[in-house]
Amino acid sequence: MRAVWKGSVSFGLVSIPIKLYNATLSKELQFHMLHAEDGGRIRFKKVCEKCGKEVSKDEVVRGYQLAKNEYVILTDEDFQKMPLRSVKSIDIKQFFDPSELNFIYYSNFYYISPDKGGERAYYLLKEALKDTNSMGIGKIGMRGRENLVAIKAYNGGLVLAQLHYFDEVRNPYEIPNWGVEVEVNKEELELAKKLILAMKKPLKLEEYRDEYKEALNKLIEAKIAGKEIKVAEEVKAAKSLMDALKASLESLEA
Amino acid sequence: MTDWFYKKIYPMLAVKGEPFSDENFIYEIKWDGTRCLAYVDVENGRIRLQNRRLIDITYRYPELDFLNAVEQNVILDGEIVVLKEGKPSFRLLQKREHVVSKTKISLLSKLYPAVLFAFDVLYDGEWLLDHPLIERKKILSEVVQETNHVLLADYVKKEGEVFYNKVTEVGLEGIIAKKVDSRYEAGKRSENWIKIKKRNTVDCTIVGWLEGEGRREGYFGSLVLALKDNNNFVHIGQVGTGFDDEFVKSFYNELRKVEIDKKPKGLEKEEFKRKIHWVKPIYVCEVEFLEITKDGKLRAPVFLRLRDDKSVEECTVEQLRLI
Repeated sequence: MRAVWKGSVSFGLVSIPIKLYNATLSKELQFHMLHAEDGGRIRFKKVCEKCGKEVSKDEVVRGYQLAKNEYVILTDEDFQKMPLRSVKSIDIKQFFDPSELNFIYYSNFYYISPDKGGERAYYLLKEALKDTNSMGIGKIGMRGRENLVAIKAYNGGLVLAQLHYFDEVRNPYEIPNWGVEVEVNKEELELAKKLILAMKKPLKLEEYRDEYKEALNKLIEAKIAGKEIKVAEEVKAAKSLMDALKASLESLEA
Repeated sequence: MTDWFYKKIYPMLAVKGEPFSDENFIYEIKWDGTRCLAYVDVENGRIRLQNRRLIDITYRYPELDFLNAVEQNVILDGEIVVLKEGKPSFRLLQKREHVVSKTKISLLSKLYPAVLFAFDVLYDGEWLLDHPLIERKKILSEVVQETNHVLLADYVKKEGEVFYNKVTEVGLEGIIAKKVDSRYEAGKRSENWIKIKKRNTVDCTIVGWLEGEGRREGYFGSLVLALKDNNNFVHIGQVGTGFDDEFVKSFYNELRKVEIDKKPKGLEKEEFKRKIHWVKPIYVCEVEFLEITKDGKLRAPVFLRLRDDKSVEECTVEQLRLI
């Protein structure tokens, strides 16, 4: 497992060296495009629409589209001038009660592990967050973006949640038919409640599996059948090799 | 008590040497793969595999069925290899490394199944580190019931030179001589274990790459190699053979991700005939070579494999002084 980010968390006068690891495994089954005829990998080439020429990385600038065929161009130099302050350090701005943060703002999760020399401060922060039932909020610079993140004690360690900024989450009332209220009678409501309670039981998330992925996996497994290295035969070969070596030593002694 | 299960143990390491015969030594085949300490807790049905850097590699080899091989709690020391025609294949073992997806691991464990050759036992309910090797070997053969994936590394007594010749004749790497009465010196490169290899190899850090041409156009032509001398890197040459096209392409993409502008410390004055791309010194590879030239470079280097079980700090110039 490789860390995706290395830096520090700081609050007040304390700075804790940390590493971040992805908390989730995504894209388990990923496919590549191959040429049907010869099995060669298909690659994308960056081609300019105007002149038809292939362009290299150095020849590319980024354009912000205002309207069709109308762009504001930003160069690498422009980006370098941008103030991405929180690059190697997450500065915790405040602590708060977890119930104040609505689940809709959560995006990705990362596990935080203490880097060399940070074990003690890490442990202290974790315990203190747990005991005070608090979370911290701050910013982190990752992949050229300034992300909002929250830190929380979780399952023996600390977890970092990437958050959506306040203005990134849509107001649901912009969605058609959101929040409609209609007349219902008491019996109908009672019946619905009864149905829910009848189906209510402790959640076992592990019971819900990605059956499509499992089927795909089986399909792939069937396709490689017969191509496997037969381990029993290999072990036999390795052993007879050793036996032959030993026998040749014995014949020498005899 | 489950302390033993999480106890971090650095494996005992061998020094390099020449073939010899001595009745105070036993001789094993040097199975070249990934070193592994296997913690098997039969009571709780759990296994923990750790490489020589103490990094957990349990998830990588689900096919290693230790719970079928032992009936009591043990810590085994051994080498994980993927066999092809009865011999270890670096190329196939490499396919098993750097894989995170569970699905892929499960498929690869069927396509290229790994085996572990156990050559030592460090715990069997009691700590055995201070027991003489020959006693540990006896215990090992008693506690391990071989399966298709967990095997015992056999050994011969006394006849080191003949054994070495025979072993290298059939195309294996070499042998390891171990002193019969030696204790297990965890984390130490000990004179009591002597590896005797046919080929010169060195583990070095990849510090950059030179652009390729012809078939390798648009990829790397060769990898720039360096060793650590205290805090500085020392350049020891380039390796441009030993990898297949598939590896070149996939590894090129990895190298691109870690390109840097700054030259690694100690290499500021190096000049190259082709354009060099420096990379973060994080990848370690094993390279075979004929000899060291007068100016301290590898002659006729051939790439053998990437080694994620070795750290950059371990790739020191000391390795060459022993040759």
